Amino acid sequence: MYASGTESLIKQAREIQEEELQKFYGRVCKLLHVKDYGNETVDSLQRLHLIVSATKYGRTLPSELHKKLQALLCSPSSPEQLQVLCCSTLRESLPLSVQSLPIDDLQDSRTLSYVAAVILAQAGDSNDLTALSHLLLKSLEFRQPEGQISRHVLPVLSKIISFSPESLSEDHVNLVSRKLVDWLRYASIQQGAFMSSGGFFTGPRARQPGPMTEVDGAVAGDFFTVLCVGQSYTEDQWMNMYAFSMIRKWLLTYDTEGTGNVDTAQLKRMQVMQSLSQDDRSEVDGSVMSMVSATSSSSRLLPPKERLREKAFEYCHRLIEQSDRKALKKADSDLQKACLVEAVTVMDIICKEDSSFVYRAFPCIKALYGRLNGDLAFARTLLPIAQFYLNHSETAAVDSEMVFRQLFLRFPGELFNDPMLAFEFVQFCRANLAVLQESVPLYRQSFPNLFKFLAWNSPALISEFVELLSSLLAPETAIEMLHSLLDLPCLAAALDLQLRSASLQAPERTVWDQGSKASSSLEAFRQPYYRGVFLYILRPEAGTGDTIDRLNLLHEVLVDMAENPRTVQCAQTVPVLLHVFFNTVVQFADQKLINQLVLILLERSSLLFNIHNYKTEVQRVFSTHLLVLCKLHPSLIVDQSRELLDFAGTTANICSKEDLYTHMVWVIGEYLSVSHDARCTVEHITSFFETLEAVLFEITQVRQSASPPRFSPRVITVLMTTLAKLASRSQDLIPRMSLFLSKMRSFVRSGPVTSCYSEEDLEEILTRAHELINLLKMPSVAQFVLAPSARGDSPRWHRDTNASLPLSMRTLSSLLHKHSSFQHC
Amino acid sequence: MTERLSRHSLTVNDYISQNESTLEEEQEAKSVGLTCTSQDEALRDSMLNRIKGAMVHCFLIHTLCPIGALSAGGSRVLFSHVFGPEDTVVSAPDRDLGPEERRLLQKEKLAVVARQVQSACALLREAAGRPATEVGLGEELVALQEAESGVLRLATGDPFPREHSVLWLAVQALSFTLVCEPHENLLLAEGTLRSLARHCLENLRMLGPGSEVLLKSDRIEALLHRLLPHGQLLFLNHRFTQSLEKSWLHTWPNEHDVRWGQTLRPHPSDH
Repeated sequence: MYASGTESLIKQAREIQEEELQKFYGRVCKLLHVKDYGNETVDSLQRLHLIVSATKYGRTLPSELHKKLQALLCSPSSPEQLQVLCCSTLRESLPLSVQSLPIDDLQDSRTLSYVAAVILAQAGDSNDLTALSHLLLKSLEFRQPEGQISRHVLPVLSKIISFSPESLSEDHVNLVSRKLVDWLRYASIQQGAFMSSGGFFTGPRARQPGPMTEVDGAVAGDFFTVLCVGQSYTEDQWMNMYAFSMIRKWLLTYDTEGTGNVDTAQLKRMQVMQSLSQDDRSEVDGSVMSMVSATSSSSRLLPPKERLREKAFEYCHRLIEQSDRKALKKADSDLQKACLVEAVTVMDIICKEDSSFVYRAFPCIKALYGRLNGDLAFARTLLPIAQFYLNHSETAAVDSEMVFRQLFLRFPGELFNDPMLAFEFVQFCRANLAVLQESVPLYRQSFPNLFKFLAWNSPALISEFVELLSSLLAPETAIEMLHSLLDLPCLAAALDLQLRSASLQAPERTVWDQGSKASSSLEAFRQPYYRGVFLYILRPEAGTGDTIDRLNLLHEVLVDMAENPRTVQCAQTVPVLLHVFFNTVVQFADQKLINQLVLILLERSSLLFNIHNYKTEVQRVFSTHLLVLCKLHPSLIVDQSRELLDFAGTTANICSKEDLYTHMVWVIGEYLSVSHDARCTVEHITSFFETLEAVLFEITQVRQSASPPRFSPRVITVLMTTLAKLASRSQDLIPRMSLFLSKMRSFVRSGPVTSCYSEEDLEEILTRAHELINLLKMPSVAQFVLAPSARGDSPRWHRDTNASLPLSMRTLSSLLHKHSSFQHC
Repeated sequence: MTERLSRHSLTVNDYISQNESTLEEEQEAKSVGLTCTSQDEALRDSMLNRIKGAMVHCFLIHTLCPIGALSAGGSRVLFSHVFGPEDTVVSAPDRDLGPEERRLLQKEKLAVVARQVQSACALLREAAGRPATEVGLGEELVALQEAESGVLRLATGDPFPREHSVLWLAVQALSFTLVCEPHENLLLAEGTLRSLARHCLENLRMLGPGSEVLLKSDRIEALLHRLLPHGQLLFLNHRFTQSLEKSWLHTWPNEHDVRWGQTLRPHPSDH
């Protein structure tokens, strides 16, 4: 559908030669000069627009052509197509038209709108918009003779105030507020004259218009809203629609004075109410009284802003009533949902400004919730309702538990595959982080459910969850969340199976063989044997247990999902979230939790869903955070010495998780010291020494027949250094260590090793062994060099070139070398 | 196919590496005590809060398919309409720019949006694993039913000074995209976007091989002028919509009426 022809057209437009371009400008100019508005002109203007818009570099039009285009744009008699073309060409080209357009004498509403489009697009600062906003306000101020207010006056105003809200003075704001009240609340309820050319007061001969109907075909029961349907609409009905479309923005921008002095505003309201008993009528038109109107409070003497608040509230109330009707057209039933979202949001804004509305709003919002909460098709409209409860349930002393129960426990599990709901849901959480965290316990508790959104839509939601994760994390659920994050790809796979399984027919009544192998993950999903595992992975709430014992089984059974794109995408996001998790958890973790976390690192480093690269990536994150956790709480080495010995003593770990293993060995050398933990005994040091020595011995054993080593030389140097560190702390071990180190020479010279490591690597191993031997010759120096004191361990220590270990080592080696050569002499 | 897959996984990885680096930087900043809210920031935040509201910032039509002249992951913007100035109030750096530079910056920003939508859509399509169905002219409604849609958030400063939501609707190799302010009523925006896309597809024969989208962009402009005037989303019931559509089709003397007979076909829900 995207053809090469289109591409070549863009190329032509971009690469047009200057000479040809000038000629073309001239031709367009001539056409416009003779006021030929036929096909040729249209065609040329279309090409002109393509030429100026196809490149990102601005094209400057000759001033004559520029003027002609402006004149054509501003002339009400121009055909609309030409106005559109001028408008879009001027917007895209240079010089700017923003100051040269003659807007003061614009009368025609369509022309005004197209001119405004150019000005809005090119405005550089609020001064550029002043003239336009004055013109618009003037057109509102004086009642237009034939109701000829530009329909687009509100959209343009809306755009201007989003750019520079201060461009409207207090009087202007009051003026617009009064107008909005009239349009919102007092538009006529009769249909516009059929076939009318847009006149509000059309001739008396026009066919007698009938009343408006509701979306279900019933005669409209109350004042006009956007949910009223008729053959055609009068101007004020059109304005009603534009007014409602912009009301939220208007209230958000200008209805803020109440925040500071709600009390005075309320007092004023009360006084006005008491002094009034007469019926509330528009200055323009009467309106039919009914449901909402019947309860409408008199507000005529209220200041314009408050009156607008009152009328907007009534409008929203009526929309909520109207959305209960069964729409005849699908388009209208979609509109009903959009209106519900808008109405509840506007009510929320109003209630925030004036809390006295809360008591009036709640009955309506509660009833709405009662009506919609069973229907998942209305899930997205429940979000603003939840927002309303969150903001105001305390003021009105209304219980909000049910709403959040529905929101957090039902939606994610059933609607995880609706990307729009997922996005809005997560934005809702983002916007209310602090409140949810503090006063809705269900929020944190439901994290396994919220993770369903993430697992299913991981690329789209990863950045949102990076923000959310820390708010979901609590000391009680930290361990469970870590497991859940690691199992996130399994969750994605399980959700996929859940959807597929639901779309299949009910399982045949097979008697499943207990423990029999399922031939596919989908089959397993439906087998009772695996039920418990899947139920756990798909659980909605935290608190049933940190993890389960049969994870291996789950990983096995999901093996055919390991290359599923969704699972893979999900797995790619896990390392980022793990980083966030650890960075947050260390802020509150106590000793006990850190001990637990380290054990989980060790356990889960191999117990992961077998997705390409997943294990490696996760282990890399683990390594980084192992260092942080140990630094924070060095005594965990002694606390967990048995488990760490197990891990460090298993040679197989070097092959399967080299990175983590290397870090673990380093950590042992760094923190297994009496200076970090008074409980650290010689026995501890010796047992770690012996374990690591055995490993190093095993991997450096020289056998000609042996296969070349499958680990990096770094493992060897780190093991050597750690052993030397331990030896320096229990000096009986020094002779043993020195002897061991001296054997490294034969290791690096053996056949399989030389064939596998580079010359530099071998050199590095030898140098390190040599340095360590020399260091250990002077035990007291070794102790200093190999165990920097805890106090000297400032964050900058490792970066300081003067104090760094390599430098000390080099200096010492050279000293020792000199010393030894001296002896030889 | 493999190439496509690897490119997509690359985007996620890129994303991740970006995030990692930010996290590290944050850590770094925290450790040396650099994270503080300066007065400027506070001022900016209060500005941002004050001018929140709901409008559409721009409408784009751009490609989702690989294009020879562009680098991998590039997207060709075929139509764009930016409805108003950016908040130069809050982004002082832009204020000193000349009109030409401002225009260039704006076009680059739109290209960023298009590229982000392209990756988002590619990832979504990959995850869904549905084979793409090609339909031709006259089957616009089928194409729209099959279309994927999604929404993504543009963080503050990336590329616009304020946060925005981007709503996209991917019809085969093209995406129709609305960049909205963050508090926009997305249900309403979705409806408007669908309606815009349907009219563009039908009226500019975008499922066919032609290039009307470039040459007849005035039709799209006039359509936007009615259904999304100056970026204002409208609450239009079916009668309001019909009336606006009628005035659009009426004012546009359509020289291809005979050839384009299908464009006047009413929406199925009207039956």
